[in-house]
Amino acid sequence: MQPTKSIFIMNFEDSASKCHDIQVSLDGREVPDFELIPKVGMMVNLALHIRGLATIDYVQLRLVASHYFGIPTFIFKDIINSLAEVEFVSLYTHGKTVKSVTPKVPYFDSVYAKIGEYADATGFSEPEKVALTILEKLAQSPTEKSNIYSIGAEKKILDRNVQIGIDGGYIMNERARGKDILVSPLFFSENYQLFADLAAKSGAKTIQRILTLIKDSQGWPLSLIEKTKSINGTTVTDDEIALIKRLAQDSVIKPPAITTPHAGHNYFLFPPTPGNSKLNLSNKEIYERAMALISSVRQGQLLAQRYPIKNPLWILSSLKSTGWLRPTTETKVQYQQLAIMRVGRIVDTGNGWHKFILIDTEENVRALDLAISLLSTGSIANMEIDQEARIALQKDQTYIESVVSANKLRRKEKIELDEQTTEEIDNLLLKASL
Amino acid sequence: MKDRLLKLRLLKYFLLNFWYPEMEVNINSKERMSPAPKYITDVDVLALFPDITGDLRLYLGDCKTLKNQSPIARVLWMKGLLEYMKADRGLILLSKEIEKEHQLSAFHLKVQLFTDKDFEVYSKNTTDYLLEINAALELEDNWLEFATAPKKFPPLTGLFEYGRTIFWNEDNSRQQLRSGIHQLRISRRELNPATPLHQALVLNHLSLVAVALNNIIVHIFHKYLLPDTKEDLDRELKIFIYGGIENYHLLNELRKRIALPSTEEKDLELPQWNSFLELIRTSLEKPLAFNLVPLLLKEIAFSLLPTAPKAYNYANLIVKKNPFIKTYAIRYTEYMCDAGGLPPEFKELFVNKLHSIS
Repeated sequence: MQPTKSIFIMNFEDSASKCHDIQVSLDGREVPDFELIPKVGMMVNLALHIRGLATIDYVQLRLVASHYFGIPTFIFKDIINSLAEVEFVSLYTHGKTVKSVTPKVPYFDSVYAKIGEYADATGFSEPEKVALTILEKLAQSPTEKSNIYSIGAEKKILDRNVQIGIDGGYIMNERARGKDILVSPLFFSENYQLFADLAAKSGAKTIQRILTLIKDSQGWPLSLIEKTKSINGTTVTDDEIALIKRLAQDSVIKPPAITTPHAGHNYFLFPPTPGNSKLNLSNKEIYERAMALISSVRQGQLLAQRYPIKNPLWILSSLKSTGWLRPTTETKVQYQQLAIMRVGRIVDTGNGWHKFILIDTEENVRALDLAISLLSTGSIANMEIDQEARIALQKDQTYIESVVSANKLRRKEKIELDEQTTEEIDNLLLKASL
Repeated sequence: MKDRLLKLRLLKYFLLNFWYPEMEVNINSKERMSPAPKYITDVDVLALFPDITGDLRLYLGDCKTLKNQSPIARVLWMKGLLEYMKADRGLILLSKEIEKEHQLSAFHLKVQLFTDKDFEVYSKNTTDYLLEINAALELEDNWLEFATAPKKFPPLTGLFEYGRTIFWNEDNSRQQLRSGIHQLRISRRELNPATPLHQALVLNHLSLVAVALNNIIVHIFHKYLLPDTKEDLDRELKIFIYGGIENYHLLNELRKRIALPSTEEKDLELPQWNSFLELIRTSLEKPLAFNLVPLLLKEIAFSLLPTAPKAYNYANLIVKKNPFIKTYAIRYTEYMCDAGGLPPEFKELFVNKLHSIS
């Protein structure tokens, strides 16, 4: 038997983050092989959602946790006690009964790192370590199934783990170019078939390199990459450019694009849209607005007709502090998409000059914050929060009770098929004997 | 290959006539009780030749040493097969002497019955043997290599079988077209554009579906000549391809009831429908030029096989017959690669190959 201990070299932050990813994806499904992963995932999820809230009634929190985060009622107490152990909550009790929970989740320390430390002290089992290592690998790029075996763990444990991932919905086994490619929808939620195809063609390392470059220079225009054969100063080969072009042009969900009379139609490249564990569905629109904001300032920075923006971060920061941008002759085409998405308004100031004014809503301000974060750190932050769950925690208990009962009725509605199933139906109809 | 020399001679004859050839085709039972299709017989070599309307018609060939059967008994088998396959004519090549009465009776049954010596005379007098052809399709090695596909790549057995069996057993062109696109789409994730045998399999598949499309183009042209508007062509094609207006409405309704709400506004149609309409409309300008597109694609498919490289001239001879053949082949290949959702390198490779033929 080969050792599995040596492979597990993740830091606290990453291990807790991956537990959270797995837990969100499992959505309440029981995996007998995992004990600590679901618990850590639940702790992270709950901690992230109660940060900054006032004292919450215990029963109300339990209902919300069950409904929105799939935390079973019978282990809720264990989760809350563990959060108390890491000092993320303090509990008000009567004898053995918990009455209310006061959140103390820190803003300036990483929730993931602290819970990861707790998990490390408790100790992951060998199959759990393998699961986290596989997911860590798949977060970078889809990869050929055979590459997973290079992790070094026993084949039986690896195979079982991949199967758990497939059943749990956080790994997909896609066939591309005659190969088995593993993709995680947690990190490649859209266009996963395209990514699988690219991994089958060029290998995981190439994809990983390209995605890192795109992540570090979010919203870089495709035309400029083709022209300069580089992304923000880093050279890319012709094969890599062909790959990047496919990412822009063959995607089912296209990256943002801006059309101007002087620069034509341009795609702006972003890393793959993350899945529900990192980007909650309720925040998806905010993410799309943030991408549109970045595309507009990149257009002004890199494809301006006359006066390029020196630093896109300054522009976004200025927009945040003043709520508007100085009029220019290019504003109209540059920010048109943002006006369509109701992020801002374009005001004619005469002689072909236009001014962009932010529409001051909570969503737009959050989109602006996210755009600034994406440009400065390259990573998505605080988008895993389910806004509906936050609302339910701040209202009284009758609110969550009505949500839960309405949901029970909703479950009886027609099941919607996804795009892939629709495609399969169309394909089957082709075969009808007529 | 059994009776290989006779089969290769017949194959060469078909190629000299610029007819689309196929070897070792399996015939299925049209009705069955068992869950899997059953072969009931096979055809050694067959060809598709254009009739006066441009429709590609079947010509069945049988090559036998025939030790334990009389020639006329084989003719009667062939006559039955012609009926079964809705084929026009059949040809039997035997490597033994044939009684004249058997030959004369065969003539009445639309079957040509020849000894190999007779066939030498017949073929020399009915085709241009002075034409020097070097075709990838005439080489036994290429056919043998092509047939290794299911063994080398078991997940591609379905695609291979389509070419050897399913296509030839479909009832009509519209079904051949739909099932051909279906087969390509279900095999697409197994196809690697970097593998020459995969390239050949895909292009051979495209050549077969082109046969079906040729017959659809001819049908549409003879019925409507040049449709006045896109809407006319759209409606006619949908109704025709899905087997009549009742069937189309039924399938469309069924699809809308089970598919995503977002697809409800869109009617049932082949993938990349707008490109398909453009392809058909363009081909209606010179419908008869489409006749040779299948043969051109099959020849290029076989030239891609990883056997010893040779200098072929057959594709050049085909495109010289009409400048539209190459144009239509390119347009059709582009459509099929997109409709099949193939990795983009396939389209790039095939289109470059077609462009390079002069």
